[in-house]
Amino acid sequence: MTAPILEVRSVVRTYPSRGSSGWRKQYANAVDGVDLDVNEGETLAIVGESGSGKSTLAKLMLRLEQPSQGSVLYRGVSLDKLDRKQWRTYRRDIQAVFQDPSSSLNPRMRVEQSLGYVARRHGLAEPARLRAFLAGHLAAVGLDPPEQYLTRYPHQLSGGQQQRIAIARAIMLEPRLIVADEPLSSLDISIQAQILDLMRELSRRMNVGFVLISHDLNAVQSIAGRTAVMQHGRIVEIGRDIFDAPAHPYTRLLLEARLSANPREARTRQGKPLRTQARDELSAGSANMLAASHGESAEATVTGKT
Amino acid sequence: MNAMLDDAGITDRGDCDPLLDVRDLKVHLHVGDAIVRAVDGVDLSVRRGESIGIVGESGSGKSTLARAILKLLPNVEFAELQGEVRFRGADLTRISDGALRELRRRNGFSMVFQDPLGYLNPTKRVGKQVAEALGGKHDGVVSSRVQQLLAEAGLSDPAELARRFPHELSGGMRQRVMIAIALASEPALLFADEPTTALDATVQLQVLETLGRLHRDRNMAMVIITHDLGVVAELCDRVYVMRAGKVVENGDTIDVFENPRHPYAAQLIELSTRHRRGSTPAETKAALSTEALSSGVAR
Repeated sequence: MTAPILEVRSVVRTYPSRGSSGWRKQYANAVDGVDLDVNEGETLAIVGESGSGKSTLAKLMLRLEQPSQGSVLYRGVSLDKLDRKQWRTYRRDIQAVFQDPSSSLNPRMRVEQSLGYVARRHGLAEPARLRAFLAGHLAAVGLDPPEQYLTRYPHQLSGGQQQRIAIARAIMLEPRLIVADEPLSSLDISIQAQILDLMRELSRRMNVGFVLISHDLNAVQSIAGRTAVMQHGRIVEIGRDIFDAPAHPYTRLLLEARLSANPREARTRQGKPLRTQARDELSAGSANMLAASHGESAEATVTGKT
Repeated sequence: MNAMLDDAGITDRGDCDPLLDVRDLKVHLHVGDAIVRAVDGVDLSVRRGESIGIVGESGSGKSTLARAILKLLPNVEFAELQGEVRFRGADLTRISDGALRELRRRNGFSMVFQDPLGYLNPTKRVGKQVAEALGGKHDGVVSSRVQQLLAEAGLSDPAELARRFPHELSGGMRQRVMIAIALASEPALLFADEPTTALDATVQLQVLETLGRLHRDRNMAMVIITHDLGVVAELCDRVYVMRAGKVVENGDTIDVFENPRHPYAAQLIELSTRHRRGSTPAETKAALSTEALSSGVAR
């Protein structure tokens, strides 16, 4: 096996917490001691509930945030020690796709301008061939005929089409790894399936690796090689078979919280309480925020979805 | 039954069936120069104590349908707004404002929305906001009723909770406060528009459990609007599948899930069940290549 493309080493990221009073600041660790290797070409899913630190971890990998402690290594070199040349390859090799495609595209630029800017900046194509180059990449993400999409503004595209543009912009640079933070959650289920197919195809054809951040276990199950489960800033479990053989009670809780989509198995319809065995285990273990069955008293620590 | 409701033609004494009967409802909107048929001839009925799911993808018209039924549409000029909405025998499209207010105030219908923060007043303690829904002066009787409603919505320690502000609560707790407010009028019918979409999976499960319990214990009819077929499978006796303003399939939940007749409904069910057991790319491709999805509606 080749060396990992990204290594996360004992990373802690601290933020001033919401409960800070005027003269005594309190701190919370959004990411609290994470160790993780991302290998070349693998699809690694990171799942967890809101406030688990998964988005912060993505930002740390993309160097949109700096670790408070520990370091993130790109091909063996810490991100804050990259020289100019290494920095440039890092910025090409690692690309990002975000949750809300409309906010990651400039609303005042046509698709051609948005993507053309990146292409020119990185010298990807001769000016004369630029249009054909862009069209080729739009076709590659399934936007057909591509010429028709080049002249449009983001608001003239559907959410799924916008997300494809964002992916096209990422793959133009022929990255080795795409960090995708909730790329599916603003999309309809049929579009989600198409985007997942596109990711599979890219991974097969170009051997692009993905770090797929998601709160939706159903969506990642079909695509992820390894899956990491995060809770309170820590990875509680990571592996290839967390869906079939979850070892940690929190993983079991998340799996049991999935709705079955089979009305015959529906628990509420049969008047069965939805309390799960995993939840009982967790509550027996410690004063966990998910412990109380009806009481959401401890749940106040969880912030709303972003 | 009070005079206002008698005037409105609500003769129901608690035995009117179906509770809600919608016939050929159309809501067409002007969007720029174009006309969007958000709801395009929908028939729907809800029996007393029954739970109904309305599913569809974004833009299918499911939220507009609910707002049209509950008379919550914005006060703008519609290209077309017609149809019949009978609730407990009276036509809501012709009802007086006073009678409508009366229905919202007592034993009529209530609604819970996706985003509770958008509907809670950030400057008032939640207890007071529940009390407002009960009407009358905020005295000892009201305050004990408030705590009772909060407890019924699944919140522990309601006395302490009533003194908190919305921003001091988590998403799941806020949604429970919305449910408590909705219950204040003792509704015969509760509409819930994506009630758990913004919540984490484990919290979603608890809120669904609460809705299921209220539905059973109070014999309260429910209409759940959602994009998630898992929620329908969990809670609903019957389901309506919407697409582009039309109901393309409806029936008993188990029947529809097991033998969907319309290809679009079949695709949605196929995709959400497949997701759950993992899939190979080839399978998804095959499912998507069919005509049913390729003509998908852009948002």
